[in-house]
Amino acid sequence: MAVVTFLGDIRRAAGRTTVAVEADTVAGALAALGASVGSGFAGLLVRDRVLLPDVEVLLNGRNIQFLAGLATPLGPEDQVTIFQSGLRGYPGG
Amino acid sequence: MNGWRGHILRVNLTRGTAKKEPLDPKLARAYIGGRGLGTKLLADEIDPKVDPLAPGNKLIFATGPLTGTGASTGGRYMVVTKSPLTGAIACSNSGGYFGPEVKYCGHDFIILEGRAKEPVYLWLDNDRVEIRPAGTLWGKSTHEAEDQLKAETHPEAKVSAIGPAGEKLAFTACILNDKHRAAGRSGVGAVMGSKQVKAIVAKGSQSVTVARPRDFMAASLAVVNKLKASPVTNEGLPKYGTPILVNVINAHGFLPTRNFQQGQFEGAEQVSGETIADTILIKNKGCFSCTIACARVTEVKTGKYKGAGEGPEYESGWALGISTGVSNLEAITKANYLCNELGMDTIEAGVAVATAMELYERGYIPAGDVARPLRFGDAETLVWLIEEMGHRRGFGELAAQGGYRIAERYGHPELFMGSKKQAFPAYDGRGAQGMALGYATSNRGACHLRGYTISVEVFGIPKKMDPFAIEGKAEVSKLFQDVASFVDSCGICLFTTFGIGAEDIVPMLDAATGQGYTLEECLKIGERVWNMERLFNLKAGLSGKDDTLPPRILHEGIPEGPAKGMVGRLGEMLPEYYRLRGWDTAGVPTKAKLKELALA
Repeated sequence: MAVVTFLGDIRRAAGRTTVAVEADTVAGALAALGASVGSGFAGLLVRDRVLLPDVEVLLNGRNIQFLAGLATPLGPEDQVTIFQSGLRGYPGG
Repeated sequence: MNGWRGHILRVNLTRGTAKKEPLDPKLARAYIGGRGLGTKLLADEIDPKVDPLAPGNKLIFATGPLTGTGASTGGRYMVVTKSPLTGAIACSNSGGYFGPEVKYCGHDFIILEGRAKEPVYLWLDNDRVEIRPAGTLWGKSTHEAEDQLKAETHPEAKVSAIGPAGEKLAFTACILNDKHRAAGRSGVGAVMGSKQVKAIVAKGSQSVTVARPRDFMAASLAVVNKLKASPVTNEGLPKYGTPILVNVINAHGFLPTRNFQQGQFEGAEQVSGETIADTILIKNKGCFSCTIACARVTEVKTGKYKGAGEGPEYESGWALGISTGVSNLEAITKANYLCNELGMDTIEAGVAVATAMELYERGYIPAGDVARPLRFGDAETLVWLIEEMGHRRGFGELAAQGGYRIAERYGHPELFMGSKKQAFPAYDGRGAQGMALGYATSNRGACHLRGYTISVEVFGIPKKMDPFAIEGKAEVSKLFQDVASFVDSCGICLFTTFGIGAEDIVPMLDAATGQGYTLEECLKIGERVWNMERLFNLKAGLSGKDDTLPPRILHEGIPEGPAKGMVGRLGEMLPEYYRLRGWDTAGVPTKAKLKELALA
């Protein structure tokens, strides 16, 4: 089973540091979190099948945006990390 | 003048004189203040080839026009000088309450020149300036000195002081104000020590006027609202502080561990922001007029590392802990407290310990040269060596000069992890290519605050960029460097840029000063400041050859984890960076660029 690790406020919302899930894709893993963490939890991460803009998901340390997004395949040894960003950085030019 | 106080306090320590000089409004307009105008004043007044610890070097305390105005985070000041650590320009930035107090005494800048015959401190009692003997303060910690100075002057005075490390001219020495806030990098504390100045103490009651109060209030409120709307500046930083980054960067595989020998730390969770919040954190705390309040007030309540203070921040915890392989949070916190009390830059000090540990483990430092083995992960050795360094005792005499000097002394300068002799901060440039370019090109030596590309490479804002890729990194590095130069010139905290952009700062600056600043002009000023720093370095003897990274970063792949096999692709990014900067292939600004920036 893949292991999902929560960081920062998402960890507080989840009430735990890690959870093991069985799924074929990242989207499936996030959906499966409801069963172990709470039914409303997935709504903190995904809405209308789109990752919320303040949420970052890594698969084995790589942001899923540079892979296949939520459709990225998931294996049983994989590590998923979820954290909140929301940084605006240095825009302005 | 509005925003600015319109005055420079010039203190000649050799003659024992202090005089107030008018600030040139044209220079203020063109360079704003803080880092920009402070560097301009230094570059105009010293020979760039001067020995940094000689009386000919100057030490400039520089506020910005937003310092002390009530703009959110408007409590910053900079210390500008020629660095003894790097031989390059130094500009170290601090928060707290000292900067505003300098302006309430009527000064925008304090220029220290010459060298006092005996230890002294400056007492700024509004307009009145006294140079007082500091013989009884010499040798005392920054905390002891601050307490004594308040007792001697005013209980509400603000103090900026050096500790024993600065007195003993350690290149790792910094300047502490309000006990816990540091102008940390580049050895600025050693320059203060070389001038025999223990502290500057300020208590003022004057006000800073702004040109258009209603516009200023509106612009400031808009900034506060954006900071409140940002998950980072409203929740993440107050709740977890900067150490929230530990687990995030570790997960990406570019958290430099054991002197950059690995990219992930097995003990990251134990020293993370989440763990700090659950264990030693007492409360968060803000600097002057700060609506973020990221500082960590902490306490280790029991055991041999018992104590209270502030920190560790992300960079400090990384340098003192992860970089040294130490995962004992209480020991790291103790080492952090010691750095603050003894007056040492936590990054430079921590990386010095890590450098020594690798040299020792490889057999390059003979066992007889140190009083105890230097092994990665040894918490007791970490705390012991930090104290030795602060007092420059035993092996600490050398170690206090930073990692480069240790590695050079033992014949292996390639094992120092830094650029321009200044230690890297807490991101491995092999995994975040933008940081590799930023470290190599930073005018003050390796630095994360001179162009924080982690913003795009990890957090995806304003756009998401693959940290492993090099495409577009030269452009974003240049932009971020210029914006940071602008922000540092205003007198507000760079952390505001986690929630706002330069376009939000310009209306505050313009309403405060009434100068008609535009975003385009402010970014041009940022570019001017960057190029001015570059020119100073070139005149000091540095060249494009110094825009480089250690062989480990350039040629040795990260051994495991998500960034396995990655090396710093500096050679592929640097030519484009020079071209975007308008510099020639040797890294020298062209005449056309200097003319465009009014620097010719």
